[in-house]
Amino acid sequence: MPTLTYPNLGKPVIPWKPQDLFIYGNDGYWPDGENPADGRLFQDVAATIPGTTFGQPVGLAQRLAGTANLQQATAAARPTTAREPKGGRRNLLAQSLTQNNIGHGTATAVDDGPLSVEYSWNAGSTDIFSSVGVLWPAADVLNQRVVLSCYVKPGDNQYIYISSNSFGTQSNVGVKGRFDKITGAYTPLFSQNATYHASGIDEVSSGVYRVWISVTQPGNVGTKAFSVFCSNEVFTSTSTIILGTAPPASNFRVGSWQVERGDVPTPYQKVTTANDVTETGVPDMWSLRTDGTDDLMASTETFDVNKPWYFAVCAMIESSGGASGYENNLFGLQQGLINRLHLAARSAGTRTLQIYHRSAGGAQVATPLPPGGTFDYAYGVPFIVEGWAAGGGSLHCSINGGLTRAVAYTPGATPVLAPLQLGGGSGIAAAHYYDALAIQRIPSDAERAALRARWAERYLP
Amino acid sequence: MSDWIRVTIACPEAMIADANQLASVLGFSAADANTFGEPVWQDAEGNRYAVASTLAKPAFVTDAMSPLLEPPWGADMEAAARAQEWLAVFDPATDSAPFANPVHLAAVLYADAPEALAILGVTPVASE
Repeated sequence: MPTLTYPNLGKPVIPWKPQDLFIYGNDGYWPDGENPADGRLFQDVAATIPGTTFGQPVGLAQRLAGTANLQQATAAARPTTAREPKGGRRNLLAQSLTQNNIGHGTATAVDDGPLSVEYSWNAGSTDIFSSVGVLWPAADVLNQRVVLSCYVKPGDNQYIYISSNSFGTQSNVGVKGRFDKITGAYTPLFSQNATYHASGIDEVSSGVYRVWISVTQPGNVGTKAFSVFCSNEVFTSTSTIILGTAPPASNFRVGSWQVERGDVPTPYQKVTTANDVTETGVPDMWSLRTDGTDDLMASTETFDVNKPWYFAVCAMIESSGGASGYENNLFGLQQGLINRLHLAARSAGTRTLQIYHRSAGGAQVATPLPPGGTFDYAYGVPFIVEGWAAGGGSLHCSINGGLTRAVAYTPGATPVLAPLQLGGGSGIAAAHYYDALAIQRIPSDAERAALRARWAERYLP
Repeated sequence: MSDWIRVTIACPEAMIADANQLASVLGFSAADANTFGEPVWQDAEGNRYAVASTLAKPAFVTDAMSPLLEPPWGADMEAAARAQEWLAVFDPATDSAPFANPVHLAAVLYADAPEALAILGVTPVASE
């Protein structure tokens, strides 16, 4: 009886890596993410100034595998390094640390855990109710349910007043209410041209509370401030200006401001700048961020577009530039017309993006997007798209479906050469590119599934 | 921390060639003469602009207003000087938007490019 042997039994499983796709020397590009710590990003084309942190221009993105690097010689068209928590950005504020709206008081920066601002009443300011707050995000949040939350250390004050607008200024928009830190009760005070949905208060540590309200505002948010005030005085006014008569019983501290879409607050994300968003306990994910006007990266090498190519990219769209008929590119062969992925431009009043590709002579194909074939870019959720073709193709895009600018392309005897391009297009989306892969062959279903699984584990919520 | 600031500039259609020479003088290489592309943005009156948004060193504003020196890669200094005369840097905190206009290279210092475009007052021209 022969003895059966299993030579691999007990050996550790070696994880599949996208660079395994390139073991036969295929053309292509794979950077394995965009973390400056990996040493493959440079601020200049000549690779003399390494990228080291967020908020820096990227002139050269070197590959880990493949045959092409991507670069941008024109300084103004270089993308920027950025980091966000895995799963994407929820806090829509331009910054979440410092007040940029205050009335009749003084705000002092403090470093007190989640609290970054101390409010003190200005002596002699006895006329109106004052507050400290942050301006609403400029992101498109009109007519959407939005949660406003922050941490408050009220000190000797029993009541925490919260508002979707500043308290002491003339306004015809906003929701205002009062929390009692002892009972946890919320008392609505005022709502005009805005809808109150829900509220909550939690004591997160001794004397520190996280308070929130969810509201819908139909307009006029850009210059308004999500604001907080603390007092022992009970105000019952329902006028648009809520008047107070006494200063706070003590200074109070505020911080960890967050404005997000949804019904209830999620864990706080710290926004230092648009290029630096972090969340405690959640890994960073790094990206190249295009600015929505002129940024793109391209290879100096050109490749035969008649050969089979596979493209995949993990990205997140902040906004898409361009009106009807504009093309917002993600990743692919520039003018190569093989499975070049395009974003349909955003039309007024809609927030849906769709991605299409088209092979030569074939019908347009909508690339599925999680969830459900379309997605709302404004939520900042990363997504993975991929496309492939055995040769030839034509791609263009238009508003919300329909490739009205499709350009016919028939593979010919003479090779058509084109560089790889990340970003760009005639509209140019403001987008984060976490990873991208191009290879001049069609991977197997198993290989593509492995790539999607790797990126999903790294980047998706 | 990064020590870069973002500058977004709306260049009137008639000034694109000169503005690219100024960009080359203030930039890092001859490739910066390609900073301003097609005039595919417009203001409320329909005036056309090319737009560029870039990270720049904080000294950009001072450098852009200082006497120009020809870069090692060469540039049309007369064109660059004309563009420099048109350059106007606006502060959204103190100046009144919109800033884009046909007689200025209107620049705003603002962290977010799409918001800077709104401050400039330009929108994409519908593709034909």
